[in-house]
Parts: sequence; C-alpha cells; structure tokens
Amino acid sequence: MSKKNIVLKSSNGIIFEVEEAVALQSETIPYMIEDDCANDTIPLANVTGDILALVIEYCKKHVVVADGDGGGSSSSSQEDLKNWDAQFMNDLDQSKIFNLLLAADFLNIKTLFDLTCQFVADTMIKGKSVEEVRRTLNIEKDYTSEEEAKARQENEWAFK
Amino acid sequence: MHDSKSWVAPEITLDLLMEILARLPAKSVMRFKCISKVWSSLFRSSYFCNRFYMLTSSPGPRIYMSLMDRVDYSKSLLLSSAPSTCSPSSLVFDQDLTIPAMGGFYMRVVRGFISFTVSYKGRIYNPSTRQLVILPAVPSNIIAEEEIYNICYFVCHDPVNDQYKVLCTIAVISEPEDMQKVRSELWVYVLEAGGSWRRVAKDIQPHLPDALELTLNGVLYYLAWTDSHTCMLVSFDSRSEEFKMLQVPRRVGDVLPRVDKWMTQIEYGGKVTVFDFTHLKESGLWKTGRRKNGRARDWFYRLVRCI
Repeated sequence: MSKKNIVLKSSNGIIFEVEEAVALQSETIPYMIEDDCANDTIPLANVTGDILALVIEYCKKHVVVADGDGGGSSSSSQEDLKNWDAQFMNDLDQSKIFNLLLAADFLNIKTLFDLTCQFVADTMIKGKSVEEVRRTLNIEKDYTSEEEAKARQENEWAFK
Repeated sequence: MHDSKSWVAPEITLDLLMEILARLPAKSVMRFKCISKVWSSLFRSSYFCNRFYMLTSSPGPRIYMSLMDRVDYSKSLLLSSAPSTCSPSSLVFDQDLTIPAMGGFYMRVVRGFISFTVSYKGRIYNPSTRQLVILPAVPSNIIAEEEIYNICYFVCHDPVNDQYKVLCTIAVISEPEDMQKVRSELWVYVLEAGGSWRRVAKDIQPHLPDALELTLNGVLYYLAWTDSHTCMLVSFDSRSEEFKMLQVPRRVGDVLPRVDKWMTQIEYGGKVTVFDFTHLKESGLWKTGRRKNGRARDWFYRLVRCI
C-alpha cells in the first residue's frame, strides 16, 4: 500500500513533496487540505523555501519517533530526540531561528513552536543585558532615565 | 543606526512576544521590566501571568520551609528548595532564595503565591517576583471589641473570572473547653486594584474554623466547630461566594470534644474527604485510613456524596 503524499509550495515557489504523516504534524495544513482539493499543491504564502525545508526536516525526524514506539526503548529515543532538537537549533543562525518560530506559529506545529520559543528565550533574551535585548528586538525605550532607574531599583535583586 | 553585525529581529505580534517571554525564568522577567513600559505592563497582565504559570509550574514542585521566631518576627526566614532539585531525599535549599523576616506559621500555596499570617495580618508573597502584599486590616466588629480572637486568611482562585479572593474568618469563643458562645464574621477581599473587605454570609451559623483549608475545583473547604462537639465542613464557592455547611457525623461512642480531636480535610479519589486522625498515634496510619475499616470508609463516602 503506498503512502499518501502531500505537496507543499513555499512562498518563493519551491515545491516539497512529503508523506501525509509528516505534513499533518501541522494543525494548519489539514484545514488547507479541506479547503482546497486534496490532490492540489498547498501554497504556503508565509514560509520561504529554506525555512520550509527546515520545518520538513524537523517534522520528518519527529514523525519517525512518533511511529517507532514499538522498536527500541522509548525513553532513549526521547533522549535522542532532545539531543537532535538541540543540535538542530544550534546549527541555525538567529534570523533562521526567528523565521522558523514564525513558520511554526503559522503552521501550528506545537512542539516546534515550543522548541523555537524556548530557544529564542534562552539564547537571545535570558542572559542578555537590557540594552542588548532592546537592540535585538528593536524595542523603543519609552522610559525616561529616571523612570528606568526606578524600575531597576525596584527589582534590584534580579540584576545580581 | 545599528551595528551591521548585530541582527535585529523582525517585528512580531504581542501574542508571539508573550509566548517567548513567558518561557523566561522569573528573574529575567523581573529584570526586563525595565526594557520598556510596554513590557512592564505585559508582565503585569493576567494573560501573561497565566501563561507564565502554566509553562513554569510543570517541572518539579518546590519545597518552601518557614522558620519562625514567634517572639521576634524579624528573625524569621523563608527557605526554598533550589529550582532544579528533583529528588526530595536530597533537598538543597537555595541560599539565594532565603528571605528574611517572612514569618508565618501556616503557609498556604495558591497558584504560585504563598499566603501566611503575621501578627493577625494577612500577607501574600509572590516568590517569583519577590513581592509581598500586606492585606489591609479587616474592619471587623469582633476585632474592635475583643483582644483575643481567632483569625484565618484563606486564599482561593476563581478560575472563571480569573480572580483571587481572600476569605477571612474571625471568631471568638467563650471558653476553649465548652465553647458555649461562638461569635464569628466572614469577610471577602478580591485581590485587585482598589480592593476592599466586604462582610459576607452574615446569617451563617457562627463557627470557629480550623486553620487548614483545601481548595478543589474553585471551591474552598475548611472544618469549623459550632460548639465543642459539633464539627462542620464549610465550603465557599470562590465564584458565587456561596457558603454551605455540612455536619461531620461522628462514630457511635465518639464523645471527644474539639480540643481532643484531630481532623482535617483531604482530597481522596478526587473528592473532599474528612480525615479523622485523632487515634492515629495508637492505631497507626494504615489501620485508620485503609479500606479494611469499612465503617470509616462508608462514613467518608456518605459525607462526600452529600456535598
């Protein structure tokens, strides 16, 4: 019995053909299949080809493990998967990570969304200084210097 | 404007920003309050607080321990187990989270807040933000008239309106032994800006509460005594603020007065159960609590069904 494939098209016209189980980790795609004719290509206007390739790489890895409960110890495969996730994220630059987060949000892939949100929080925000975070996230400082000093003073312990 | 090497993130929606920020440790959240007024108000929003609570409350519970000096409260301490402690057999208390002058004998935990009482005043502490709120004095007649009274503060969360409510019970009894005369007042405080104490359930039978409560599905339960031999299970619906009272039955031959009884309410099989451990010392834990004791079990279940 052949597995059903789904064809996805990125915003810049790149075509990906993936197994249905891989694509269905996205909770958005089933709605798109219902709306369109199932045999047609599903256009993803918000996701570029390089990001979609990453999304598919992630989904392929995760679909295998979800299926593979029967073979091998599941706790070690969970551990492997965690390590794989960490490696996968570490290989990406900040721009890709952010776009992957936006894609995971748009495609509604919960585990990838959690992974990317946590990674952004941990690597781009958590240990950074106030000034660094303002710069990275392009945040306008709306405090006066006095107000900012007061806000710092109120939570002084958090700066230690 | 910007250094060409430093990358700037594309603009994202507030929803998405909150999803990211809710995954930060509490300390970072407190530090980044001074990023901007927008961030500061995001952190204060109930949406953010609920997301933060949901995302952080899963990994292992923390143990808090209060060391209290009953004479000099300023010597009291609150200790917290380190966030990463996983095995309760090897507790490490986090030096960084030792908070001086906390006090409080009974500590209650409600959705990440700790509530306790010092010198008759209710206090609510947020260990994540290290903010301490001291509740205003209750404008009670009993407090105005009596020197010695019993006061309890129970905190509960109304999940429907996402509100925190404090129920304060104030009671005086004539004699600890006979309890001929009981007077009590119930007051409610909604924890929000401009909150104030409201007297509620003026018609309820006067009762002397025990100091420990249980909250289940938005309903708060506590045991209380209307006289030296009558124990009631009182329930307070955090949403409707409706009270119910149910007399706790006694086994035949049990004539012990309040001062000799040891009882509490526990969650058992998803239901509120009254647990009488007066004879725990002589008979042992399992004999009292186990199913073999058919009579006690029926008794518990009958009580639970009535609620």
